[in-house]
Amino acid sequence: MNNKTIIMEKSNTIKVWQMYQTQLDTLLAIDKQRLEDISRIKVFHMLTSMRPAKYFALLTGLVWVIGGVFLLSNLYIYAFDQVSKFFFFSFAAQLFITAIAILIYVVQLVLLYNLDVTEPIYSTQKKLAKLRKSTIWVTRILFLQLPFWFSFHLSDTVLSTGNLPYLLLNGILIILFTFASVWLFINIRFENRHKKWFRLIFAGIEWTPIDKSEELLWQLDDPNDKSNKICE
Amino acid sequence: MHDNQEQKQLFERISIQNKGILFKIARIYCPQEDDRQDLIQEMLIRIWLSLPRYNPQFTLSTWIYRVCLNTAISYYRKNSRRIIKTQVLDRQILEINEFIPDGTLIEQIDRLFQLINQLKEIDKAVIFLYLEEKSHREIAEILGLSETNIGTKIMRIKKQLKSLFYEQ
Repeated sequence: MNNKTIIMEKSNTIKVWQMYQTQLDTLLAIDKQRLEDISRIKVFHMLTSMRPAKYFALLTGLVWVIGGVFLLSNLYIYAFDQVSKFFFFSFAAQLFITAIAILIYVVQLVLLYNLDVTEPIYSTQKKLAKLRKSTIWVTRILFLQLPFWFSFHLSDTVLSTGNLPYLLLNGILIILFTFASVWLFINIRFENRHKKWFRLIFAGIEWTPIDKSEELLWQLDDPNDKSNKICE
Repeated sequence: MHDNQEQKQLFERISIQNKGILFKIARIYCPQEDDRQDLIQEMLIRIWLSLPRYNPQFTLSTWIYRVCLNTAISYYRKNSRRIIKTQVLDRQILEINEFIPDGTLIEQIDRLFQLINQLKEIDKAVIFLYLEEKSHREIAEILGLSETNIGTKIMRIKKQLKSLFYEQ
């Protein structure tokens, strides 16, 4: 009778596990000095992997939005008649979309800080997975600002005096990027995660946790498990 | 809840008494030996940081299983920050004292871990707690699921392990 048979057929799994426990107890020793070192570690070392990227995005976005709002409000108060409406409303739309993304980032950071590993596994992992999944939403929203980057430099003067090829090129670019942003907003979904363009957008440190989160959510909402009830 | 000295003592007690749990979880979630020390360090750090939030309404063991399993499931190897972070803790925390030569046992244990390693993260946690001889109620409390759900999951995982076993 080989080991294979011993483990499974005689239901000896728990016995093997217990023997492993006994063996471990003999083999392992804790290095107390290490424990001392750990106890001196500052809380900030435990920030999760996603926080630095979020902080950077948040700070950059905040500076951009605050600066933009300051500029636009001054233009509105002192020079609204002189300023190009294309510039004003394109920039305003871009700032508005960025502000929504910043709000989502803030919510994500608050949730990250409130994550508690001492809670039951399912609730912690579910929160974490959903949190990571929301990154997809930020990306979708941010892509909506694409066409405004090609419309803000237009003005009534350019429209009335600009040459036709220049205006045509601008028009085509605005239509193309409007289409692209709407298409991306609709198609950036998990169902498309294996497609090349999707991987290109999400290449980098943000993708691995998202991919993993989707897998975890799938495990948590196991469709084969009819008694999948989560306790409060 | 605790002052620093008290927290330190409790932490040392927890770490020493539960070293086996840390090692077993690390082995289940990190097939590569190089990663296990990193995960053990991370679990210890999480325990230390979470100690002030320990709620005595739960038994200490339930609390430890929660912290360690949550850490293990969220642990991603390709995490550059983790590498920087663990440079502070470059020495080994858990040291192997001596080697017990028992070929058959080692072979059986390896085989068991090979099978468990093929399960999904959550299933690994369920079967780990089952092997630790936790009751369905305790497993349910640690994972945050109903007891019925745990029963169903255990049956399904055992079946899956069996089929994986005979596939090999």
